[in-house]
Order: sequence, then structure tokens, then C-alpha cells
Amino acid sequence: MNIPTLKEAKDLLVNSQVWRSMFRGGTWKDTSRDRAQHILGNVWLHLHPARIRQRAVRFTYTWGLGGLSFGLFMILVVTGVLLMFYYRPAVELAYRDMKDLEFAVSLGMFLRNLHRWSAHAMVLLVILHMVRVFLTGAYKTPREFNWGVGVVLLVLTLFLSFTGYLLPWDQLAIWAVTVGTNMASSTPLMGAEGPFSNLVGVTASNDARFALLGGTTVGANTLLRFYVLHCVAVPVLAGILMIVHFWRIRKDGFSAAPLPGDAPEKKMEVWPNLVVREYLGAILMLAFLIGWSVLVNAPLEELANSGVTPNPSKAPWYFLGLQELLVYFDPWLAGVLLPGVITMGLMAIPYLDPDPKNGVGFYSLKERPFANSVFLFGIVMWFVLIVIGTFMRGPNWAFYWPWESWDVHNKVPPPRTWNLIMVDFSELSGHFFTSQKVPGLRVAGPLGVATAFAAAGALFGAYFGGGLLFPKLVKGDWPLKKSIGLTAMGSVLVGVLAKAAHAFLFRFDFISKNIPHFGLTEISYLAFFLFVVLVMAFILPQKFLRKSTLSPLQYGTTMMLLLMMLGVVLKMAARLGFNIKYLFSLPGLNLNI
Amino acid sequence: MNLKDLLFTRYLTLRNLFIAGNFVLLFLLGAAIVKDQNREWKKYQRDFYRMEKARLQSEIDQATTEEDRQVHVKQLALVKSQSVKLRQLMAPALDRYDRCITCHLGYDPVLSPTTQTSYTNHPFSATPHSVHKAHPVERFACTVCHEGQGLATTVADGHGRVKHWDKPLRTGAYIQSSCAKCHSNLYDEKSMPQTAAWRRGEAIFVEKGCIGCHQIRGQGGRSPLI
Repeated sequence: MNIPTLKEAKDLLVNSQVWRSMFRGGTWKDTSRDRAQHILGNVWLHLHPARIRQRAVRFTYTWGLGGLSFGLFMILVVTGVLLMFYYRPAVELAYRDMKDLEFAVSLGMFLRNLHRWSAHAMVLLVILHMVRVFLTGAYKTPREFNWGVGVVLLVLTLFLSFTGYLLPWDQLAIWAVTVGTNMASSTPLMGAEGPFSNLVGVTASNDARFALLGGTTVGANTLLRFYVLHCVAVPVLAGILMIVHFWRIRKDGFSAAPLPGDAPEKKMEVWPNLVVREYLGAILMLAFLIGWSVLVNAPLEELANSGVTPNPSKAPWYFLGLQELLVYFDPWLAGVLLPGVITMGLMAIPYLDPDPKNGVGFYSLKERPFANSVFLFGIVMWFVLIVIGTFMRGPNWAFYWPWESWDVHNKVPPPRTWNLIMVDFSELSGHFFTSQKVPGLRVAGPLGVATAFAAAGALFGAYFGGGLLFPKLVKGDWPLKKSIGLTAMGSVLVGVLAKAAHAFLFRFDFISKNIPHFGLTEISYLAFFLFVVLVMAFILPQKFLRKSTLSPLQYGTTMMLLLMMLGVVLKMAARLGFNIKYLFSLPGLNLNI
Repeated sequence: MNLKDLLFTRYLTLRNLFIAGNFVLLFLLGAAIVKDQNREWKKYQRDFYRMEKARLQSEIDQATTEEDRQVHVKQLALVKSQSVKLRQLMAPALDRYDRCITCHLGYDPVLSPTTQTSYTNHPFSATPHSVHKAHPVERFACTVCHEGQGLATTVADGHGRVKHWDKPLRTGAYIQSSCAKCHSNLYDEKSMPQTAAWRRGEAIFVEKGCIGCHQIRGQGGRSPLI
């Protein structure tokens, strides 16, 4: 009997009745038609087109980020289901089950590591996928809706990771979740500690956080709730939205859209060209994660103890940007309003775009300078805040350089903060607020309160109104580089003038007490942040938005989102450079900005 | 054909990467399994079985009475029937599930019914002790007195000398402090002769007035609990 060669054996297998019954299309002749049929006749593969533009297959176009995110989701489903065999969501058992996974279950620790590291990787890759889609203009018509679905999927990814964070039931878990869920209690109206909630009878035992926790603190109910959300509710919802996401990619056309004016591009067959690339990306990522999981164990701290609070308590890394914002803003702003505005703002992006045809299908940095600068500014800011929150915040959320030890005894106490305008309601309402100890311009009495509101209104009105108006007032065409250079010089000049003004005003107690020192550091802070804000909020918009085809509504929304983002930067400058805690403080209503 | 073209068209082709990638994946999965199968405690069990077999064989050879011989033959058969496996003591009433006997096999009541061994080397030594007699491992397990991390199966984790375990093994005279968990008559030298160190510590504690700052059983100051 002849021993068949490898190729003969393969042909024998592929052309057998069993094989052909599994894969539609009759005898495999390896023609173009066969390869197309292989995609079309396969329930899993037919989400692909049969043929695709060569440009779209290039790795450095997509970096495989969307596909890898989905791959990570699949790894997480498989490892998650296996972990569910060993895990019981009860406070007496959860932590012990973690120990069992580590010490008694075969490959238990490996499974947990793979699940944990894949979850972190998924959060990162989903964010990077969004950045890639933005930079290649792939959210534009007709893909606006799919971009929105993608933003919801990003939020769900964060929520999935966050709900999973609690399940090990160790100190890391409950305190991270305590930090995260405390934000919910600051929701305006719906959270016990948010503004106006006392007006509608919302308390700690019926507010948004209570609904999330199933109690007033992280406890047994929370664990069960998070378990069900993590293992059933959110994955199902994310799965449904993923189906919509993929379906719309197919129907809306792939993002490597035809380049304007170009001759018809060369297309290539998806089987095997794209499929093998996808597979290759998936196994390389899986190999990396498996290697990582063999070498590095997922963290597990002491058993959860609601009586011992670690200092500092930190949220999971992707929320540390928001936690860092708590230094500069009240929780209802940092934890509720800003995340809400960020999410809604991201979803609004496709509808704010003036030119749906410009810069689609390639990295269009030159074609879309304004959109890309603003978006990348936001992303960089997000990650800078995360890095500060992760590596540079120690006990009492004090600032430490990464090489400094977290020794509370050696730390210089943080500088005293002050408020610019403080409304003192105590004379009117008879209530006494502890934050009255904070120094600042204190106003009281009906007239004082009215003046304070007028002043605050003028301050914020000038910022947002001016920001909206000034870019539109420019006449003529300013050369970009020259105007940026002039802005830099102007900012330094303002810093020096502020120093002179400070020296002149030093005789007044209000200035000398609250800004005791105005040196090179303060000048640099003022100049740097002023420069950044002026370039982003004025120079770039006047150059690129003034003559664009944006409708007034689109222009207004874009500028408001931009001004809010830069408002965060300005507030950071006020706090870091000049120790201003609030620009306007109304402690009676938990309204501090 | 330049080097770059040669590299990408001949060696790093998608097909080759595909094949190599699969092997890398397979290798790493293998590495995960190998690492998982080579757990620290397995070595101790193999060592113990080997030592026990040798000891029992020589006992059989030197046995003077048939009865004595039979006892050892039976014990040898028991040891030979054992596989390398995780072992644990369960004391549900005390909420203790201790895997210490996975390495300290001399205290395994199945493998070593007397819970005593003649070995002097760690972790196999199991010396007779009146306290052990009064607190059989089947009922009390280990960590309720000795502390450490009962669920763990590595030397560092098991003895509780790791970052995130706040109850390390109580060694030396410190073990006497565990008696106070249940016994209230430790002051009595006659009924509790084993807790002399505890009594000395208690005397120092009272004499120096530690309770002024430190709390013990809800009494005393606000500084860290003892």
C-alpha cells in the first residue's frame, strides 16, 4: 500500500464526504469561487466579506485592535466559565475559594491570572481601538451609530472589569469598589451626598449607591449583585451589542473606505489572507497572555475587612483618572458629571463632524488637525491623570514621586487651600457648615449671597461665553506657527505681569495670606496652563472652526465640550499652582466648583 | 533580492508564522501545565513515602514477633497504596481547613495513626506532646493554635510569612498565647503547667501598664490591638 504524502492526505481529508458535509461548497478546487464560498457558506466566517481592500488588511492600519478586543472577550468568557466552577459568591466562601484556586485547583492560579490579565488588556485594547477608529476617521457617515455602540461597549467593558474587581473579596477588592461606588452617592438628586438630594428626600438608604450595593456599605448583597452583573447581565448585554457592532461594520462597509478620487483599489480574498492574519494575531496575543500568566500572579490581598481601611484606597487603574479628579472637583462633578459628559461627548463626535468625507480610511492627522489635536489631547490627559493616580499618590492621597517612599512622617504637609468665593448661608439658614474654616472671600447676608452668585455667574459666563465668541471674532488668516509662538510669549508675559501684580497687591491680607509666595514655579504654572488653554480653546478653533461648515449647534456643542475639558485643566492649574480648592463654594447645597 | 525581501517572502511568511505561532502557543500551554504540576509539596510527599518505606522494611526485617511484623507489613501496604495528593484536616466547627499535613505527613491521622514519627528533620518530625494528645488533629486541625495559612500549600504561604497574611506561624513560646483563645485558667500553674511563658508575659503586661495604650479584648486604649 502506498503511504500518501502530506498533500495527498490533506486532499483526501478535505474531499471526503464527512469534511464536505461540514463545509458547504462541494469539492474543493481552491479556486477564487471556492474561497469566496468558504466565507459565505460558514456561519462564523460570513461576518467577513468575501473580498476586502488590500489596504484594510495591513496590520499597521487597524493594529488588529477590534478583533483582539473580541478575542480577549472570548478568552474571558472561557476562563470565566471555568472559574465559575470553583467560585461561590458568598462572603464566607469567596476568599477561601480564591485560596483554593491558588493552592488546590489544578491550573487554578493560571486560570485566575489569565482572566485577570486579559481583563486589564481588554480595557486597554478597547480604548486603543477607539483611538484608532478616531484617527482614521472611521466613525464618519454611515458609521455614526456604530461609533455610539462602540462607546457603550467601552463603558460596558469598564463596568465588566469593575464588577469583577470585587469578586475575590480581599482588601483590594472591597476598598476599590467602595471608592468606585461612593461616586454614585454623589449623583445630583439621586445620590445622598449629591447636590439637591436633600430637597427630594434621597438618603443613604434609598439612593443610587444603595441600589448598586444592596446596602449602605459593600457587603454580602453587593457581592451577590456584582457576581450576577459580572457573570450574567453585563456579558449578555455586551454580547448583544457586539452582535450589533459587528453587523453594522459589515453593513456600513469597512473603515478602509475607498480613497477619494483614487482608481479602484486592488482587493484580496479574505480566505485565507485575512483569516490567517486574524488567527495569527489571536494566537500571538494568547501566547503573550499565557506567558505573562505563568510568570506573574494576579494580586490577592488580605481577607476583606470593612473595619480596616487601607491608606490610600485606590479604585481600579482605569478609574484612577476620575479618582485623581476628586482632588480638583467635588465628587458629583468628578465622579458623575464629567464621566457623563465624556461618554455623551464621545457619542456626539460623529454628529459634530463638519465634513463626513474628509480623511476617512487612513491616518488623517494632516487632513483633520483640529479634530485629532482635541481628541488626542483628551486621551493624553486621561492617561496622565491615570499615571498620577496610580504611581504618584500615596497615603492621604499626598503626592509622591515614584522613587519616594510612602512615609507619612517624612512628608511635608500639603499646603493650605482656599476658596475664591464662599457663600455663607449660616446667617440665612442658621446651619453651620464645617467647611467654614476654609479661608477665602466669604460672603454672607442676602446682598452678599446675591453678589456672590453674580460674581460666579460672571466668572463662568466670561469663560464659556468668551470661549464661544472669541474664535468667531478673528478677522483675517493668522499663520498657525506664528500665532502659537506669540501665544507662548504672551503667556510668559502674563506670568511676569501677574508676579508684578502680586508684589503690588501683597499689602492686602487676602493676597498675602492665600498666595504667600509667587516665584518662578508659580510663573511657570500660570504661563504653561495659560498657553495650553489659549492654544486649544482659541488659536486652534479660530484657525480651523471659524470658516468650517459647522452649524451653530454643532459649533456650540464642540466648543462647550472643549471648554469643559480645558476647564478641568484650568482647575488643576488653580489647585496645583495656587492652592485654590474651589472657585465658588456653596456648602449648603454641596455645590462647589 | 535584498535581505528584507528574503526575510519576509521566504522565512517570515504568514504560513510559517502561523505554524510557528501554534507551536509557541502549545509550548506555553505546556509550560503552564508543567509549572502547575511541579508544586513544592509534591517533593516532600515523595521523600516521606521513600523514607517510610525504607523504615518499615527494616522494621519488618528486624521484627522479633509475628504480631509486630504483621503490624508493620500492614502499615507498609498502606504507605505503598498512597498516591501523591493534597491532604487536609477539616475542623468545620472551628472553620479550619488546614493543608499543613500535605507536607507535615507525620501528623496525617490516616497515614500515620499515632501522629508521631521518629524523624527529626523538618517537615517530617512529629514529636509526641501532651497538648497534641489533648487536642487531636482530627478535631482541632492545626492553625487554630499554630496560626499560619492553613489553606496554603507552599512553605512561605503556609507558614504565613508573606505580605498579605497577617497571622504568621506562632513559634517557640509564642504558641502559648493560642491557649488563651479558649482556656481561661492560664493563671493557674497547677492545672496549666505548660503556659509559664504566657504567665510571665501577662505579668510584664500588667506591670508595665501596656493596657494604658493598647487594647486587649476590648479593654484599654486606642492603639493597635493586641
